[in-house]
Amino acid sequence: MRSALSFDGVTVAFDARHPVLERVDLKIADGEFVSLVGPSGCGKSTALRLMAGLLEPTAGTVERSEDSRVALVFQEPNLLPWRTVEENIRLPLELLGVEGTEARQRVGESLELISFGSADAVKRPRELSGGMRMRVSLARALVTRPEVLLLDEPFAALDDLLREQLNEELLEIHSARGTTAVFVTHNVSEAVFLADRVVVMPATTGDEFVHVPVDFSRPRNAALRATADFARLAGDVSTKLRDGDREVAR
Amino acid sequence: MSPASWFRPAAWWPPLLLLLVVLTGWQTAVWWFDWPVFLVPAPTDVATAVVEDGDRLLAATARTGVAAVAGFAASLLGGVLIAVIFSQSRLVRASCYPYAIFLQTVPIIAIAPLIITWFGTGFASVVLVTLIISLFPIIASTTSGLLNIDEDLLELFRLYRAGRWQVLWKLRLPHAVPYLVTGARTSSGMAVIGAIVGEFFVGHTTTHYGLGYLVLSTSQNLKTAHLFAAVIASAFLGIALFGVVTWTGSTLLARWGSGGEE
Repeated sequence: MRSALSFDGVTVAFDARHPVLERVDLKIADGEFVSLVGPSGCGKSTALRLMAGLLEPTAGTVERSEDSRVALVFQEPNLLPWRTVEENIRLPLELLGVEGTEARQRVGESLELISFGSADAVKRPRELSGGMRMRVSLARALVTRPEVLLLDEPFAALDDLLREQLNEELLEIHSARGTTAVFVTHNVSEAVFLADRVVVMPATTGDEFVHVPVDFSRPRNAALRATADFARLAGDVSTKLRDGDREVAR
Repeated sequence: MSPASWFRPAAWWPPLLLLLVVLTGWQTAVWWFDWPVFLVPAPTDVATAVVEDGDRLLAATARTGVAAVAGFAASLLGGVLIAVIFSQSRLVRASCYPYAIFLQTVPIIAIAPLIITWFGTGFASVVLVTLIISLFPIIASTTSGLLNIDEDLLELFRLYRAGRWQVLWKLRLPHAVPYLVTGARTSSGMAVIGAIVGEFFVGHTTTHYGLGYLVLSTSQNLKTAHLFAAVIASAFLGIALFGVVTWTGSTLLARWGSGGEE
């Protein structure tokens, strides 16, 4: 299978003695949904920024398919308060020089993905709830029809119920678009629910990444979370996360 | 109290009531102690002076008002322009910012002779003094608005390969608007002070004069009731300009979606 993203011996060191990532190899297949978990400070966000092309590796190579469009969703919605919902979603197109009918059509498409009507489209961010703002942030990322969608703990600030709801919406979008997705999170249940594969990053730089395949069939819904298999797998990932942390303690 | 709530009539009653109490006390004290009018004029004396001096006061207030507005407008334009230049280069900012602070701290009385030497006395010099006094708050607040931008937002723009001008036009400038409004509010108050102080030092002409000259001449002639009238006119001018700027700012921010006082 063609890989959408690959790390080959990637090292990132902001100062020479304490690399954030060291000789990391990682391949993400086209259309795959990968959850990235790991203890705080293990370099999850750094890995995501490498994938986005916002950061260059100190050593090694990061490969993406040529001119592949990448979008990034942050932990905060980061909407521009002076723009309406619609104008916020249009921003990436403006920056890339997509205009006119094409732009209008794509914005409409994105609004539809997050089930926003024309009344919501003209609202300002401060008139929206936290969950709605996050949906707009997602729609803004999707408006360029990205091949790779990177999400940096996007739902961390939301309550559990809303988080689970948005997880399902995200899966629907993922299956409709076939987008490759890399999802950074602290929440093991969320990581398992969404992904085809959970990658556990080690607490110690340079240690192996642990890969846990998630074979539940798609489409997935809330009922999956209640099954014994789901609990077993989530428990397995939690154990691997703790093991990684314990290595450091020793 | 937020600036917007100053426009609600309900907010006017307590200060108006206090004013009434103070005026009554003042009038009674003048009558009781029999103070001479050149020392402490009674409120009724001041009212008479306002009526007698009405035309002159109005003309002077208008003249000072025009100078204040002109100086303030120049500050807005110049301040934003300087802030944009500061935001584009760390080197320029590091080299020039200390001089912007210098502009803020130098006593106007010290540079007044220089201004007179170069530009003479009169309207243009008064506007220049107003500009010097009211410029810094605009530079300082707009610069911080242009620079205090969330790192995530800058990354978002970089992700879509936004150029310097796109970042300035679509992110930095709109982001700086609430900061500019705050700076403009401070600056508008200082502009009126600047115009009056300017008239004190560089605005003397006996045919066309503003409130600064009126304050100076009435005090020298011991026309204390008229001096009070000029001071009250100055205060009203200051409140008027501040009010207009605050109202414009609140209206703008409400449309801007950032809500100003949030």
